[in-house]
Amino acid sequence: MSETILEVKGLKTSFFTDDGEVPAVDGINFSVNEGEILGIVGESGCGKSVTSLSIMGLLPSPPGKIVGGQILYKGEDISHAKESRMRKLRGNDIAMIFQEPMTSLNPVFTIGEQLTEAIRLHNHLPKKELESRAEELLKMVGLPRARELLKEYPHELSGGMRQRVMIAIAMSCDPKVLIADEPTTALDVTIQAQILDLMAKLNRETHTAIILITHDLGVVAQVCKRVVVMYAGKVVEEGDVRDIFNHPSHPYTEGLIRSIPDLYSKKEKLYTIKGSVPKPGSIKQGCLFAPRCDYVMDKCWTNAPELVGDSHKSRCFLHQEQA
Amino acid sequence: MSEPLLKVENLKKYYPIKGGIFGKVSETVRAVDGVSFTVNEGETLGIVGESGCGKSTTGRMIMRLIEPTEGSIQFEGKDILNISKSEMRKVRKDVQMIFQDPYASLNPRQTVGSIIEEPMIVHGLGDRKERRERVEELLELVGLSAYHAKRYPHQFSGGQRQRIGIARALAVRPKLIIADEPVSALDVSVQSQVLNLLQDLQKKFNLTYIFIAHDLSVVRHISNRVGVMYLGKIVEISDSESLYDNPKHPYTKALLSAVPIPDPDKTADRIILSGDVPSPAHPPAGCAFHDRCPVAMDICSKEKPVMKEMEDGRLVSCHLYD
Repeated sequence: MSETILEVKGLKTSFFTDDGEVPAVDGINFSVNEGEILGIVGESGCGKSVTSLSIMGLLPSPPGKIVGGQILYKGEDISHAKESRMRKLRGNDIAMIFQEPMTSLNPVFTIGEQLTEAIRLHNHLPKKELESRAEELLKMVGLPRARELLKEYPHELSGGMRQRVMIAIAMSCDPKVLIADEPTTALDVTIQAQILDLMAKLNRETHTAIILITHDLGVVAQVCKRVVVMYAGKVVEEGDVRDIFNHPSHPYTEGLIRSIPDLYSKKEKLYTIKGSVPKPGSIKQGCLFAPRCDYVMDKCWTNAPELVGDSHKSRCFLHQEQA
Repeated sequence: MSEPLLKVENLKKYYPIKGGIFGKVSETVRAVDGVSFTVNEGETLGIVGESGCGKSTTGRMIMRLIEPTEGSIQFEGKDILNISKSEMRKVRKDVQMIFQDPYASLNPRQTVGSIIEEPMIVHGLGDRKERRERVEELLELVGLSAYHAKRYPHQFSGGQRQRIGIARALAVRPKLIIADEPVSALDVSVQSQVLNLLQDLQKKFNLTYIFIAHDLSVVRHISNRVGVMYLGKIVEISDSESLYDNPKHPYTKALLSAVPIPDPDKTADRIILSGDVPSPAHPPAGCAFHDRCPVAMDICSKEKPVMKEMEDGRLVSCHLYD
């Protein structure tokens, strides 16, 4: 059994707006083991990106603030760590890649300058070594003409190449945890396949744990070992990827899986989850999914279910007889 | 067999790149490079391809939102590229479009009611009272409520806005609807609602769709026939069943195998294509796909393949089937 490297315990992140406190992430728990790929899935507004920004200490503050819970990195609580401590961790221990490869690179610096920035900040290497390390990184992410690329600017590269550069930057200091927030959403399918392949390869070779945040269940099924399903700021189901896809126990997870059109066979009619995602904080009591649930029971409107289970956890009264 | 509703032949759109002090045309971008297809009444033709393959440009040319460089488009037997403006306006009543971005395609300063009413005013349909009634009827039809007519677009979610866009397209009772990535900005659970709505409406009004999308699973679900585009050309077009179950063109094969399947037990043999889509300003000589094709032959870099009809009626453009 490998060790837990990152643990999120009861994390609550809220945004303080003119209309009051909006709980974007509302008491979530999950852990990441060394060298594993954990998927976090959910639709827009479920809090998956806010979770990753909270871990990285990159929440725009104000209005965002961590109001409760802990984020333990190797046992150390970093949820309210000083900026100087976060600077040491960011890039070096925990790195992140973003969705938009077009906007997350600085257009006025060369690839080489951006690639070596983190290495320069975290370890002091002589210039010669810096260059060869940068070249090595570009080769590692499968980019051809590494030497010339170092002198080129982001606009000279395609979307897929830029995302490879982003991955190279994130991997530059051998982080223990890599958070990938929708890394392939902006890319075409054939390029997406290349990038997912690359991430799986890096995970095998460097043993970096990856938190893959996505809305695409297909990506999760192909890459992740364990999955956390989020809905309206809460974890509604967590477990092994096979358990989740073959025996989803939360009606939301089941609904999500059933509403995807199948590539291999044509269904007469798609399953739909009725209604839409509630606004954060708009449902005051009961299960947050109750208004959209096909199996809703009386108690769902008044009592909020807890997340229970051992390896396969679910937040639903259907699987909790004692409640 | 009846006449097809829409017949597109050898449609091309070239964009000149001007350079130098005299603005001389130095290069041309071949956004769409000789596309032909037909659409029959009541069916859905899906067009898939990656970004920059020319699928949206093709859709917009049928609406004449973009003027084609070459080729012909016949709608109900009429050549719509050589008709007067007033006649074109009549055609636009029969051909409507649904856009990708439900946030950008609705005017934020107009109420939903006036957004949906506008096409009826433009085409001079009904009087004020009739139009109002029609707006309410349309809102109910797409799963919204009549009282929504007084609201503004920002008060709606993405899925609801797409429903408003659909109601606007239906307002003038069109025959053909061109839907350009209508669900790609939506979440999965909302996406399935909109797809079901489009299918219900099709049955109810015998609508014909051209459904442009990059998501292959979505296209399979909604389409009767599918055309696959690569670098401005259709490489394969056939009924969706045989295209998905038995793709012929190597690009179609690679594209299908690249789709992540939401089933952890199905690890399909992925064909991972190397490199990126080439620039449409400098398409490779011969077959445009040859530099990424896993089964490229000598001839592929020299001669352009032509569309051939296979025994089962599908069309493929590849030297493998010469």
